[in-house]
Amino acid sequence: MDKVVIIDDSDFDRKMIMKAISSGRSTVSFTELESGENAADVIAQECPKITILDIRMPGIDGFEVLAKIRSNPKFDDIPIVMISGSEEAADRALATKHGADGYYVKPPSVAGYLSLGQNICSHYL
Amino acid sequence: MSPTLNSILDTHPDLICRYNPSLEFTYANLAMVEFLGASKEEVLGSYLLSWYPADTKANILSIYDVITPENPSQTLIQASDMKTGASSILWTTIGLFEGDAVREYQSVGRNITAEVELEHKLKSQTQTLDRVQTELRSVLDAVPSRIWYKDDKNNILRLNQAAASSMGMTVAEVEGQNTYDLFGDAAKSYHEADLKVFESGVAIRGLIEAYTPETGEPGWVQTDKIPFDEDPEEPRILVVSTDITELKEQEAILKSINKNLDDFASLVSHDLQAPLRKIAITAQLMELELGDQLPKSAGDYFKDISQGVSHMRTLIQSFLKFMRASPDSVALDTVNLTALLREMADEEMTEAFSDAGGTLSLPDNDILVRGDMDLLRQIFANLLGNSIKYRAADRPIEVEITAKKDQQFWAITVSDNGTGIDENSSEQIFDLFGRSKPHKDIEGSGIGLALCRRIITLHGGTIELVSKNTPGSSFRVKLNRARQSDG
Repeated sequence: MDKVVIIDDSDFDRKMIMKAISSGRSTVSFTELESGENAADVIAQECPKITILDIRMPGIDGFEVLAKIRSNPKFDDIPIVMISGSEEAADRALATKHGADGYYVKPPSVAGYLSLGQNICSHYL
Repeated sequence: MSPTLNSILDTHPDLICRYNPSLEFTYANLAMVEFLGASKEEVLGSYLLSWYPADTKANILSIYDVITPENPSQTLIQASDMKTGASSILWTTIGLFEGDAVREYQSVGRNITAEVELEHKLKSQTQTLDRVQTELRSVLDAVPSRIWYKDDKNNILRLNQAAASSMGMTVAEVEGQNTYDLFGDAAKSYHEADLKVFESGVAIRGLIEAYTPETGEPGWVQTDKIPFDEDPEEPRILVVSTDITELKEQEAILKSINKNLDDFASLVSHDLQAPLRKIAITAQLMELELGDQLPKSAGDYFKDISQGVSHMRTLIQSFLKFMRASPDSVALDTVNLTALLREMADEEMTEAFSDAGGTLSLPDNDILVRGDMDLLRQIFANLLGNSIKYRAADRPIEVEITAKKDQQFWAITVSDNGTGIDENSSEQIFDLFGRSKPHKDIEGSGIGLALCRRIITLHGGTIELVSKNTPGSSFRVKLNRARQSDG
């Protein structure tokens, strides 16, 4: 079973991401984190096929979490995609700079989420 | 005297003569004779004082009172106005000559009129120079800019009061000092910039640099460095600085405000969009998953939710664009507006115009303006979008874009045959959330024209409504012409 770690402070967004990925692949198990505090420990433990990381979160933001994970060579092969509530060119550039494998904007519709799920499944799962 | 001596004395340029105790000439050389304006025969034997005006005789006689055997020589400088009209300043030495049986005066006079006049002239010129220097110093000291006059070794040769005060010193204390002794580490960068000017011979203007005198108040200055190349052996430079510390502080405050505004805009955008997305998606999920169990009228409610969300999203995005339109966001370049409009017409306007039987007429000539391509696209997309949005229901849409230029601006007019705008709303439409009249059927944020005006203002241009109460509306946009020749 493929493991996916989702780090997002919004319950709703985590739920929608899980719904979107599940619609494309049934054999996926999810680990949800509402902050990036213990992200490195959880990733080390779970060895997920992909980590989906929200950018804007209270406390430690997504970029800090990403930088921390990428600072450990052990996690070099784990794909991490960043997800954000709005399209920001600066955020997209920063995500690439810090070693993210992808950048997605949270879709404003169910159809958009389903499309996002398919995209993630076909690229990373 | 011997004929040889006479001959020598005759060729001498000084006025040489001798006269007996009765002051009668016994000898006069040619220069003396010429000075008196007479012949040698007329001079010899004549009474000395007979050549002087009557009112000067007593004065001249008094000279001979002090020439005695004990004090046989007198040197005097006197203005000699002769009866003949000769007028000169003579430097004369009169001596008493006593031989075995002869007692005579001998006089050697040098005409120093030219020298004295030259001296007067020099004195006058020196006074003028002193006055000019005093005036120049007053002018320099009255100028608020700090002015230094330096050599290529970083020595300060002269400076004005403002420059000295800025260093907490007097002009006299600074003049002659080396910049390295007065400005510490910063002196090196000042010197390097000076040397660039010396080497190139070209002035550097508008240099923004930190000002860090070892005494005095530190700050920021904007500096011009102008070379003086009159003497290549001793190069000089004029350094003129204006204190921009306050400006820099305001700039830093403004930057901080802009940064805060930008952060605020991002926050607003993100935090408002998140619940909006939740509302929209939840409504969609309800419709998808529970639609069969809900009454038929629920479909209309879902449609209303969707429209409301869509409107709110448009508002947020427009507001974000408005908030982010700042001087930093404008990248000015030469833009061919005609080409841009053609591109927009091909890409975006086809459906609204040609497919619906409408027309969009564009100018033929190249309109080269100074602007930011993306922002200009936004402005005209907004204006054309308004023409489409507010088109009249009973006739095909017609939009015409024309352009005229003057010395500085291109004036571009966008006219349509739509529903028009009330005269009373001609300014209100450019306000944030200001719309000309209620359009319950037409979705709009009320930000579009406010954003247009903001962007155009940032370009140094203007936008105004030029048609009032006409069947259509007509907007005139003025943008700065591109710097290069645009025909």
